[in-house]
Order: sequence, then structure tokens, then C-alpha cells
Amino acid sequence: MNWDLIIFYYLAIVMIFSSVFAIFSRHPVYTVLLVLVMIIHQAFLLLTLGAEFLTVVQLIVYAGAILVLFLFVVYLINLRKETKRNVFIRKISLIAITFLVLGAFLIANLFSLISLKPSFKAYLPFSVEEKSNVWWIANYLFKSYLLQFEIIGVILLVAIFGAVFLIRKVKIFG
Amino acid sequence: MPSLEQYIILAIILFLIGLFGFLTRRNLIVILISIEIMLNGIIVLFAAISYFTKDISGYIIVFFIIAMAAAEAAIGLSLVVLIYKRLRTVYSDEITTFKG
Amino acid sequence: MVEKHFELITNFDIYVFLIPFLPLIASAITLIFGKKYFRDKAHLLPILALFFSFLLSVKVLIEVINGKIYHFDVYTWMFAYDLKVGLGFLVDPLSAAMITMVTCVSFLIHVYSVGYMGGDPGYYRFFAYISLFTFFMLMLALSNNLAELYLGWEGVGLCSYFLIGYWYKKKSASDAGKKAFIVCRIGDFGFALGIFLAFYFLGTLYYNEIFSKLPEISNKYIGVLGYQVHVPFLIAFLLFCGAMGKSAQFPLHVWLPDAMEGPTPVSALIHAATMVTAGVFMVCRLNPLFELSSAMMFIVAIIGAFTCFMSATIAPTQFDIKRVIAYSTLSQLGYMFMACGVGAFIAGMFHLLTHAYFKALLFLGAGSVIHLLHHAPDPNDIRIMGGLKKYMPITFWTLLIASLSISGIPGFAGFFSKDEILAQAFFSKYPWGKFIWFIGWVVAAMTAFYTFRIIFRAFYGEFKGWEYIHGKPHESPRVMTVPLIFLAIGSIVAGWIGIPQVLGGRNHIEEFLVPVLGHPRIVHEVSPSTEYLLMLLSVLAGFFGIFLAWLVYIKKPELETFFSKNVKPLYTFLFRKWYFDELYLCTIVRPTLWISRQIVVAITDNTVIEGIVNGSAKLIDKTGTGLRIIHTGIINHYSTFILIGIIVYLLVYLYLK
Repeated sequence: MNWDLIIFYYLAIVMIFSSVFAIFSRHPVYTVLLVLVMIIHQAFLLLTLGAEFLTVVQLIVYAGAILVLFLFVVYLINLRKETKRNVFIRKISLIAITFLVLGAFLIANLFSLISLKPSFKAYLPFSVEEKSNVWWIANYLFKSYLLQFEIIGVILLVAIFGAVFLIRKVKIFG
Repeated sequence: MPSLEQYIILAIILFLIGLFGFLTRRNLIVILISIEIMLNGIIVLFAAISYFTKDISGYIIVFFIIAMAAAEAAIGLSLVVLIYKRLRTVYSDEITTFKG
Repeated sequence: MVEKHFELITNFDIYVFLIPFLPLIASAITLIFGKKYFRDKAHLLPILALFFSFLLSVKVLIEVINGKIYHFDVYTWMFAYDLKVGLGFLVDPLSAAMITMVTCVSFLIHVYSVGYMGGDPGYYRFFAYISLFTFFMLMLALSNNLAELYLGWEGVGLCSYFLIGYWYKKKSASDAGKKAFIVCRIGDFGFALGIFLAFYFLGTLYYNEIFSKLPEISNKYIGVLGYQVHVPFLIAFLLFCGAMGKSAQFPLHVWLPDAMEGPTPVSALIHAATMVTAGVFMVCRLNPLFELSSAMMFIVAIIGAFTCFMSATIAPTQFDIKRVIAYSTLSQLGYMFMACGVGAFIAGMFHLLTHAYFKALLFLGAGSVIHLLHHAPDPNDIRIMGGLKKYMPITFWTLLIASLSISGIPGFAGFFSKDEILAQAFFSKYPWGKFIWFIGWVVAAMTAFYTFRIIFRAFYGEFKGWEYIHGKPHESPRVMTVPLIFLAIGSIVAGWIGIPQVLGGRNHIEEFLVPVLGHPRIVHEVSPSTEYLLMLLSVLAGFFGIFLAWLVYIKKPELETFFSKNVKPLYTFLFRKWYFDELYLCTIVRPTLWISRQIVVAITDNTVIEGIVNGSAKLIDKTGTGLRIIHTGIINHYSTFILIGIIVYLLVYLYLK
């Protein structure tokens, strides 16, 4: 039994279906919860790819923080089920056509990406099993990619400030 | 182990689904969620490529994407809250102050 | 030809360069700063510049008399494949004589204008324009190629337009300015065509190169509209069109009388001494070209003769003193062209030089009287003048000298120059010489008549303009009378450089100008007795004219209206200037205006230009309105546009590298 393939297909299909349902649903809470399902399955997909650290990071940050934030906001603005209204905007057909064009284009160009060969000049010989994923990521994150790491820190800082700043009380004109 | 093509197909499908939702839904919050779906597709893509080329850079990128998604969600949601406070609606076709 | 691209000038050549450029600098400074800083002192800089120009011209003249010739280019102006034209200077006897005359007369008129134009609100403008005009005239005279000649040609036309319409608020003045410029333009068009043809056939525009290449085209013919036309004739004819316009010969003479709307110093400078003589100068300069074609010489002579005669018949009927002198100018210019037409180029130039003095003097003296009467509704009218002899002695005596000079009374300058023309016409090798002599002789009598008519009407008899002046008539201020005195001296003395050999002189001017203008084209050795006879005849003609004027205007005033009453149709024909203005109005002006209104205004103005101007605005409006549709305000639409942009970018990047 090729468990790898079976697990992959299961995860893939659930991810796809849950995301499709998510964007087609009427209730915003259903949307968020379906996205939660998708996130969890994606985290396990990362696990099959050998990145256990990233799995946990994704679960904690994405599922545990971001989606909770979304739910907070949904409750804050008291969104109900959209019964009286359309789910999609008008003139969806035009957009769908554009969308299909891009989709076709991407898939058509798919095969040019396939010729990626493993580059053994890269950093990590993955076959060396002694070190864990955490070790490798930490090794490169704090040495080679330190600048980018700091920048991400600054981005998060700005986001915090921004969020706080935006919610202050402002005079409402008119 | 599935081949690289299959992972890439999965990533593209997820991306397109997220894109479709982003372009089509009226509810601002669902638009933001669609952006998250798109980002997740990209995460799959980078992780797969990193696995198959044995290059750590892909995983690092995934790490950064996750952090950046958090920041972006925070800002985006505070803006949605502001719009709700000002205009009492979160549906994009009712927000027409920039029309014309 | 010594040709350097931007030569650093040796110590003498810069003096030649300064001669035209000093007035230019003075003009530019006065024009820019005149209104605020100079105001009433605007005359200082131009007068100073012109004085130095005059001194430099005299110095250059002395050098040229001693045999030196300047010929150099200052810098390369046009350089296009085969055409190479530089800004250059050619100082040979012809141009040395010309620039000395121009700077002298211009300087005196500048001084005169201080008095005449004092108190005028546009004082600085006047001096700036007059100096600018002097610059262009000097460039014209000093040019060494046809393109620079054209530069000076157009420049003097432009300044003439400015100065004729100087009192621009007066409609008749601005109309006269336009008329002058447009009529001149017609001639200048022919002139330009002549230059093009000259370049086409001769390959160069420099005078010396043209003269050396002339034998090549002397027998060439070119097909025009089915006829074989002699090439030198065609070129010379087109160039002469320009001369007809600039020197106001028939048929382009109509602008000169109207040009009297300008201030009197302008009339003196431009329309007596300098601009109108540019045509004669050009013909004399290009005399080898004109002599290649005897048909052309005939045309020059006949047009000169016709203009001479026509204006001499109109002048006695006019009541405006400046118009009479204007027609007198036309007549004398006709003399100069008649001289050129019979090959007597030196005589023509000689008459040009003496004419400058006595004609400028006539104008300035008339201006003196007009200045006295300037409060009158028409200060130029001789019918309100009279008896000014005792009130304005200096004006009277100088005007008398000028009139005697123009009538050809022996001892004065006009006698020598006019007599030279008549003698050389009679003895010319060209067959029409004797006819020219006859016309010149008859017109001499008429010239004396109408000139002395003015003198007698204005200075004898009773003064009729009491109501237009304050108190008694008085002499003009010294700043105006001193130039008159100098010009009067010139009117006498300028002739003494050309005393012919039969009277014992050495004819200096002929010796001086022979290297450039060639020997007189006379048919055989002249016998002195015939020459004495001709001289006697012309003197008699002059005296006859004076006698007739005295008879009509002093002895028997009732004869004054004899002609106008008894031969009324002829009188009206002459009074209305041979109906040329009316003729041109009907045949040229009205159709042009009609065509312009129907076609040009309707089509280009209304449709094309309005269409473009308004249409572009409408186009932008409609485009904007059309593009506004994109701004829906809905976020999803905006994201779609971003997506479309990304797709386009990807396509371009991947497929159109």
C-alpha cells in the first residue's frame, strides 16, 4: 500500500473541497470554520513533506491566532446569514472569464516548472537525518537570513502599531 | 511520495480557488479569508519545491509567509472594523464612496 | 576668398565689424531698458553709437581710397551640403561710399529727432527702431553674399513697418505700415526666387564667386511654361522685382506716399536716403549680372523712366508737403534706375549719394515747418502755410539750397549728378539712351516746378495758420536747425567729388568707383561741345521750371487754378495719383479679401482650427466620461483590473521578450 500517496490524496481532496465550500457558503462563520479545516489539513501536508516545525508553527499561528481573529471580527460586526442578498457580486460572468483565462494560462505553463532538478549545491542535504527540521531552519534563519528575519519582526511591529492606531477614536464627519 | 507535478497542481488549484473568491464575493471578510486561502496555496508550492530540491530556502519562505499573513490579517481586519464603524456595512457593492 | 570659421579678428577688421554692430547694441539696450531707465534720455546711446560708426566709416573710407579692400567672413551662418553662407563683410569702394553716406545722414537725423520727437510718449522706441534700421542698412551695404543682402533687405523692411506705423493708435498710420510691408513683400518674394535661382545655376551666393562664374550661364536658356527664357534675364528680373518693391518703382510704388504717415525723421531717413536706395545699390552691386542681358537693362531703364515721369506729373497737384516730397523721391529714384538701365552705374550711385543729402534736407526742413504747425488738424497742408521766410530764416535758406540742388542749378550737388546721368544716357551704347535722356530732361523741368511751388507757397505770401499756433511763428530749436545746416553743406559739397572733366574737374567719384562698377558704357569718344550743349539744355530746363513756379505762385496767383479748372479730367487723373490705388483695390485687394473670407476663414479658421482646438477639448471630455465607467467603487472590480494587468504583464514578459 502506498500510504504516502493515499494520505496525500486524502489531504489534497479535503483541502480543495473545504476551500470550495468555504467560498461558496452563505454564512461567514461557516466560511471561517471550513478554512480552519483546510488549514489543519495543510499543516499535515507540511508534515508529510518533512517540515514538522512548520506544521506546528502553522497550527499555532494560522489556526490558533489568525482564524480566531477573524471570528472575533465576525462577531464584533454581528454578521448574520446572508439570506436576502446575493452571495456573489453582479456581473460575475466577466470576472469568471478573466479568471479562467489566468487559470488556463497558469496550468498551461505548469510544465515549464516541472523541469526543476534538485540542486545539490543547495544548503541542506535532506538525506542527512541526524538534524531535525527545527535545527536546519534555525541554523539558516539566524545566520544567513538574519536580515529578512529582522525585517519580518519589524513588519509585525508595524502591524501591531497600525492596528492600534487605526482603531482610535476619530471624529466622524457628516 | 507524490511527484512534484502533483504538488504543484494542488498548489495552483488552491490558489485559483482563493483568487476566485477574492474576485467574486461581496462580503469583505470573506474576501480577506480568500486571500488566506491563496497564501496557503503558495505555502504548499514553496514547501513542495523545497522538499524536492533539498533547499532550505523554501521552508524559510514558508515561515516568513506565515508571519506576514498574520500581520496582514491584523491590518485588514482593523480596516474592516473601521469601515463598519463608518459606513455600517461590510458589503463591497454598498461601499460606493469612491464611485465616479 | 579668405574663409575662416570663427576667426579671431586682426586689429583692423574689428573696426569694420563694429560699424554695423554698434548701432545694433545701442538699439537693443535702448529697446530693453528704455522704458524704465532711459525715458527722456533714450537718445544718448544711439547717437553716441552712430557717431562712432560714422567716424569708423570715414576711417575705412580713407583706407579704401588708398587702395585697401576688406573681405572676410566672421562666422559660418548656414552650412547645408552645397550651400555655404557666412556672415561676412565686403568693403570696397561701393560699400565704403554707401556706409559713409548712411552713417552720416543717420547721425544727423538722430540729432534732429531729439528735437522733433521730444515729448513723445514712445521716445525710446523711436530711437531703438531707428538704430536698428541703421544696423540693417549697414549690414545690407556691407554684405558679401546674397543671403546677407537679403537679411538686410528684410530687416530694413521690417523697421520701416515699425516706424511708419509708429503712432500706432492712428488707424491711417498702422494701415500705411501694413501696406508698405505687404507691397514690399510681394517684391521680396521675387527677390527670394531670384536668390534661389542664382544658387541653382551658379552654385554659390558669394559675390566674387558669382561674378567669376557668370560667363558659364551667359548663354543658358531654361524652359518656362513653354518659352525659352534667358537665364541671366530671369535671375536679374526676379532680383529686380525686389528692387521694385523696396525702391518703390512702378508697379509697386503705391506704398511710398502713404508711408508719409510716419514721423518726418523717418521719412527723411528711410524713404529718402537709405531704404529706398537699397534697390539701386543692389542693381549696382550686381551690375555684371544685369549687363549680361540687354533685355533686362531695357526693363530697368523703362520702369525707371515711367516711374520718374508718372510721379513728376502727380507731384504738382498734391497739397500735402510730405507727399510732394515723396513723389519727388519716386521721381529721383526713377532717375537712378534710368542711369542703371543705360549702363551708367557710376552716375546712378553718384546721384544716390547726392540725393541722400538734399532729399533728407527737404524732408527735415518740411518737418521743421510741420513741427511749428503740429497743433493743426493737418499740419502738412501747404494751404495753411505762407510767409514763413521772415520767421524761419534758417529753415528757409537751407530748404532753398536743397531745392536749387534738386533742380540742377549749377554749383550745387544735384547739378553735377543729374547732369552726369543725362550725359551718359545720351551717349550710351544702348539704343534707348536718347529716349531716356529726353524723359530725364522733361522731368528735370517738372522737378524744378513742383519743388519751387512748395518753396513759394510755404515761405512767401501770407501766413494762413495763425489759429493753429501760439503767438508768432518761430524758428525751430537749434538741435533741429544744426543738422539742417550740415545737410545743406552736404548738398553743395557732395557734388564736388564728381565735377566732370569738361568743366575742369577730375571726376574723383568716377575714378573711385570704376574698379567696382566699370567704365561708362558710352558709344564713342564724347565731344565736349555736345556735352556743353546738353548741360546748357538741362540748366535751361531747371530755370524754366523755377520761372514757371514763380509766375504762377508769385506773379499771378490767379493762374494757380487755371489747370484744374480748364482741363478737369486730366487734373483729376493726376490728383488721384493716376488711380493706381483704386485699381489695386478693385483688382487685387477686394478679391483677396473675398477669397480669404469665403475660403480661408470658413474652412481653415472655422472648421480646421476650431475643430482641432474645440475638438481636442471635446475628445478629452468624452474620453474622460468614457473612462469614468471603470471607476465603480466596488473593490471586486478593481481587483479584476489588477488581475488583468498581471495577465498582460505575464504575457508580455513570456512571449515578447
